[in-house]
This record gives sequence, C-alpha cells and structure tokens, in this order.
Amino acid sequence: MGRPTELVTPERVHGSLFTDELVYEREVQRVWLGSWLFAGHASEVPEPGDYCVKTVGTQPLILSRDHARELHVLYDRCSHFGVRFCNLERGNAATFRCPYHGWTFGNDGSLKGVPYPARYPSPRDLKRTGGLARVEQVRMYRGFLFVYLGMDEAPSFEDYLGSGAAELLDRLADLSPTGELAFRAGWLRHRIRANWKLVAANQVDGYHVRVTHGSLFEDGTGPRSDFDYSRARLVHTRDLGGGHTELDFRPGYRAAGRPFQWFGHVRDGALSHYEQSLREHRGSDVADRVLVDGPPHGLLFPNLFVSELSLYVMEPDGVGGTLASTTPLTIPGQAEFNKRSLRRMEGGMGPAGMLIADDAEVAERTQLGLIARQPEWLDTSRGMGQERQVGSGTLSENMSDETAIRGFWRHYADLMGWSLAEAGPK
Amino acid sequence: MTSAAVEDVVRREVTELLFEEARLLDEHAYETWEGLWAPDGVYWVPRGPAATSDPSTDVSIIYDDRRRIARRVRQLTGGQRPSQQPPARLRRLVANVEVQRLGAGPELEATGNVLLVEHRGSTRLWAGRATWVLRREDGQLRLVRKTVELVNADDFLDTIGFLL
Repeated sequence: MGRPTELVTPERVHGSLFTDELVYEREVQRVWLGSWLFAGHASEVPEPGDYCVKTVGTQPLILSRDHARELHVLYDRCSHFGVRFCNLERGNAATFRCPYHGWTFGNDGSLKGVPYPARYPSPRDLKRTGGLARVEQVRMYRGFLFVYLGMDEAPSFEDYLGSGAAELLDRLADLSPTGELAFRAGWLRHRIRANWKLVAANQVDGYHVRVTHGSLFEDGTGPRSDFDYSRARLVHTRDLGGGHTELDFRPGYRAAGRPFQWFGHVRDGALSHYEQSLREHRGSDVADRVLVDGPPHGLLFPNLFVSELSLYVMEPDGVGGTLASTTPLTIPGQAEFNKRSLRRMEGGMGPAGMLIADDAEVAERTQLGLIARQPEWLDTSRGMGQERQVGSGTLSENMSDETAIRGFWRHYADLMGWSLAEAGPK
Repeated sequence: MTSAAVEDVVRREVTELLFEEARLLDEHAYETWEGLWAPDGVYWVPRGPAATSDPSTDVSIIYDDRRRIARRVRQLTGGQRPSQQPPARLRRLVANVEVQRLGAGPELEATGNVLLVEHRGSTRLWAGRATWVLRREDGQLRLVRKTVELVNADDFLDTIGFLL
C-alpha cells in the first residue's frame, strides 16, 4: 500500500510522521533550519566573558558575551578542522582554544591566533576571515533569544512571534516586579525515546491530565486537585496562530479570585516581599491581576514550552527521540519566590518529576505503539466545531478539546509544505 | 566539618541499615522505606557536585523535604503511575561504605558508592556517590538526609520513575 497523499488533515495526523526517516529529514530542513527557534535567554550569560553551550534544533551553538557586553551566537565548531571545542556547558573565558591544532578564538568569535602562521599562504587574510562561523539571524524579545539557522533569509520575526507568542512571554515577564527574569539555576536534562512532536503537542494536551497524572489526584493534595472534566471550562485551550498554543488557566483562577493558585501551597504572607515589590513597581491594579493570573502554560512553536514557572526546551534526537531541558524561572532579588520556583519545578519536571516522568512514559509507549501499522492515523478531532475565533486564533472553553493540538499541526503542515487546503505533499 | 571514627558495633548497625534501605527500595516497599525517615528528612539528588551545589539557587533533580517524600511515596504506591506500571525491576549494590560521626553532635554520616541496575523495557545502569546522615531517635537510627550524586547528573537522563 502506498503512502496517503496527505499526512496532516484538519482532524487527524498520520502515524508515519513520528517514525519515517524521510519525514524527519524534511523536518530538519523545513522546521529546524526553516523556522525561528528559541535559543536561550540573555540572563544565562550576564557578565562579559560568560558563555554557555546549547544545541538548538540539531545545531551545537555557543552563546557568548564579549568584553563590550555584546552577545554572539557562534557555531561550536573550529573553523580550521571542525572540532567541537567547548567541553563545559557554561563558563567564563576571554578566548576559546581548539585542542587539536591550537587555533584560538576571541569570545566574539574572531580568530586571535594560530600556531606557526607563516606557513599559511596569506596569514593576514586568514586572521581576518578565519573566525568562528556565527549565526547571523538572531533576534531578542524581552531577553528571550531566537535564531534562524537556515542559510536563506528568515521569515519576519515579528510575524513569527505574532501577538499570541509575544503575549505568552509578556505574561511570564509580568511576574517580575522589574520585568527582569533570570534563568541561571541550571538545566535538568531528560532523554525521551519518542518523536519530538509527541513531546511538544503533549504539553498543550488537556485531555490526558486526569489519566496520565491520575496518581497525583488520588489524595486530593495534588496540583489542581479540584480538576474535573465536568468543570473543564475553567481552563481554555487556545490555538494562538503560527503554531503557538496554550492551555489558559486564567478563567479558573479568576473565578476563584485568589492570588498564587498557580504556586501550590502559599500560606498568607509567605511571599509578602514579592507581593510588595510587585505592587511598588507595577501598581496595585497590575499586581492584583498578575497575582491571580499567574504564568502562562504555552508552547512557542517549535521548541519552547513555557511551563508556567519554568522553561522546557526540546531538541530532536533523530526520528524516535527527544532531548528536553528544563530550567526554573527566578527573579533577581526575590529569594523566597525563587526557592519556591525551584522546588515547584523539581516536584513536577525533569527526569524524576512527578508529572513529566509519566508524560515521557506515555510518549515512549506511543512511539512503540506506532510500530503497529494499523490503524494508520491518530485522531485529533476532539472539540472540532465547538470553538470560536479570538483574534487571529481559535479558542475552546473545554480544556480537554484538541484545539491547541490542531493549531500545532496546522502550522507544522504549512512549514512542511503540505497545505491542508490542497491535496498531498508537494 | 570535624569527624570522628565510630565503634565497630555502630559501623555494623549503620551498614545494616543501608543494606535494608537498598532492599526496601529494590523491592518497592516504599511505605516501610518511608518509615526510616526522621521528621526533618531531606532526600536530595543534586544536578551537580553536592559540595558546590546550593539547593536554594541551583536546581536539583530531586530535592524532597519530608512532606514531599511522603507525597512521592503515595504516588508510587497509588497504583496509577504509568512510568511504574509495571514497576521497574531493580537491584542495587551499596559498596565502599565508610561511617563517621559528624562533629560532636549525635549524627552519623555514611558514604558509599551505589550501582543500580534497572530493567524496564530495556536495562539501564545508574551509578553514584551516596551520603546518608543518620540520627538516633527512640533508640533507632533514622535517615535525616540522603544525597545521591549521580555520575551523569548533568547529562540527559532517562526517566527516573523509581527511587535512587
């Protein structure tokens, strides 16, 4: 039997999207080298000479701040013979030296020196042109750094962020009295033996929560222990456009009207310093709203999940694997808030997290299930026809609907060159 | 921190407790395991070397106070956790154990290497340095702090749905 002509339709997606090496190769070109990607946050390299190493999509990069405080995004590959020379995940250095032939680069990527330069045909030209390759298409929004790794001209960054994705980052930054965020507490790394799209789309799947995470609802002390599908209208699922999606918890929080529902068990006054700072800097009206609304729970296509009080970044590890990195949000000067943010993330996220461990498990079992060739399709139709348009996006008032997931797939299909309106892959 | 050697009888008592703890974890006897803990217990799996990690500013793989230890145990015993259905088959070795008294106080510290084989779908190897701080309460040694420094703590790790 041949392949179906459409792998993504409005109400279902084909199993081969998660298992087919040819689909993966196409994704490397069209998603990982064909979309803006989240690369890191400026707070990870705050001081001159600070650097950190990232894999963004499939590419090993160095974020480096030079002595003039300018930020550079460099490829972690010696310009001479291809050696990956960074062996720490972060540090502070004036220069990088390749361990092979000793070529030395400044923290701005320029070539500083090579041993025995006189043997090169034109040593002076070499010094000028021999620096590290750099990512030229780099944009920053509120400290969030995005890169475009294709060699062609990137699509508009403003269009990529759109109003919806920018709003997710704004709502996260709103939690900080000064707007300043810091992501310096370190990244937990988790290997998941499942295609990255299973991992990504699961972050905005509101249908699985009561089942996959059922163990946390048993004793009534779990996160959102009042969660119940009959009351699911308190959480909305949204397709924000451009593949960006969210589960919006604000309706429920607003209905209850209490501050810090998004922060677990906060006794009255336990975060009074934070609360006071927020009021001082932002005024009481904004502070009241922020304290009730809390952080967003949304996916910036394709690789950044703003997981309420943490960032969760995905990279593909071949067609059947995902490498996920998570770091907690901290706010400069807010020690008590930060300690709680760390504890909250550790409870749920990372390889031993009481939530994510089970998400990873079901993703891995899905990957195994997809070995079976029948039925060919995965159903994404839940809640179709019961949604409404909001701005450029779509919203369902029932969190168990698959509105967000359909938004993810529609944009994915666009990037892959498979318009849903037309028949078949081009 | 100053330390002092302990008598053989104490060393044996501590070692037997560590072996019992290992067996309880291997055999998923989580409620009995929870009973080993003191009320102020902390179970810590740092992401970096414990000596240079500060749990108030550095994220940890696990940093459970006594209440969260109880919660983790309830999750494991509740029977609705996909990542432990079926439970991982586990066998661990606790070796190179050294025991000392912590300062002049009543607490004892044991250190050792842990090598754990996990089988669930496939077989995985976990290794690390463990440190146990113990205190005698009502005549019984209790766990006050357990720290496990995995050799690969800062790398991409497979799901840890069991207890280290």
